[in-house]
Amino acid sequence: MRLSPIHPLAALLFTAASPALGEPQSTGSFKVELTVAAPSGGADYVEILGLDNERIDLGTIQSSQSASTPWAIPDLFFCLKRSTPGTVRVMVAQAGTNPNEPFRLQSATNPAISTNLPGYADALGLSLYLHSADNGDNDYLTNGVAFDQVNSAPGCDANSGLGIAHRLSIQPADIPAFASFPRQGLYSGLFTITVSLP
Amino acid sequence: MKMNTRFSAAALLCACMSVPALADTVPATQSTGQFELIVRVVPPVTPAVTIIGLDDIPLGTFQRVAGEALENQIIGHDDFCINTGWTGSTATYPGPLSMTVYQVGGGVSGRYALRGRSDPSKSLPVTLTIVGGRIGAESRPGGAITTDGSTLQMAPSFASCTAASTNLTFNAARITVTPDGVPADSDMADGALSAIFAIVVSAP
Repeated sequence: MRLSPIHPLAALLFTAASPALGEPQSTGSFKVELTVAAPSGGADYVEILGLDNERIDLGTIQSSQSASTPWAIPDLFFCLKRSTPGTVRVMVAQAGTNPNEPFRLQSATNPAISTNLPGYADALGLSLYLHSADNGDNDYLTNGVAFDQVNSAPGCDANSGLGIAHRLSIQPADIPAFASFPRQGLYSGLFTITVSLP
Repeated sequence: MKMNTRFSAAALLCACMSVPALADTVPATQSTGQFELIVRVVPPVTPAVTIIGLDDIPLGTFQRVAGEALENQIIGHDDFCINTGWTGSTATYPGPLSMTVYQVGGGVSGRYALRGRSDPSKSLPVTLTIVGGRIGAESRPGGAITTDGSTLQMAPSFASCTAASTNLTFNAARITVTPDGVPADSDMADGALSAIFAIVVSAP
């Protein structure tokens, strides 16, 4: 939970000490005052934490000549926070694609885009799912389409994981048999998650 | 001196209270985060396949008894490795491999069969059962084949597999030869019988 900016307009009152002339002890007191200002964006605001332009290198995969090759992508954890109770609106969009097109990693050398995956475009198909911290909401994500989700658990920060943060699971389609649909080279995708008030 | 101490404490208190205002983002009604995924895909390697340790299988001599049949009791086997190269202890090519078994000169009526070495009228059909190591968590591939030119899917052996490997260790493959039974008082298989089989293993 983001703390509201605090303006330390504290008036510190204290009692000046008397000259210490051999007293075995001295006492004093002070009063603290402060004023809390509302956030500049209004009292109700949202924030995404823990997803800061990460570049995730999944390494190298060797495809198979005759059979599809399974592979895996590790889960991503981040916070979807709202300053007041209620849901947040989430949208995941892939750069260079249009809404409702399939998520995929696109070939760097053959960037032709097709919505037919995985057999025709030179791309690796992906399915994205967003899981709430308690796994109560497990949403299949459509590229560029917003939906509402519960916000993350209290205390969620950029280092939070399972049980507190939201979890984005990315399930890649098997890499097709090389003999039928050759896939080779570098594939990548840039994804932006936008969270807003519903 | 005491006053200075109190001012220092006050300054420290103010500093602590100011920390939240130093957060890295400004609260707003919209926020974004980004991530990029990259992966490299390399084409499959066509492995060089070699068979190691495939030996002849002598079945010995069996004495027919008048009035009694021989009921598939003549069995022999041999263990061998299918080498596709190794990366450390792991097979470079995980499989599956295609294995086709031919009988040299052809079978008898399409079936694998032992033939009379001196009397071509004698023959005894046989079943070849070939099993190999596991591919991942799957059960052992292979199976029983009876027809000339039959094909099975097999797994490569482990790096430790040698010509001396036996009993399906190190993913060695095992071929078992089981002749059909001989009816009582039938001389269909009398005499010395033999057959030569050729195994062709290939990566798709």
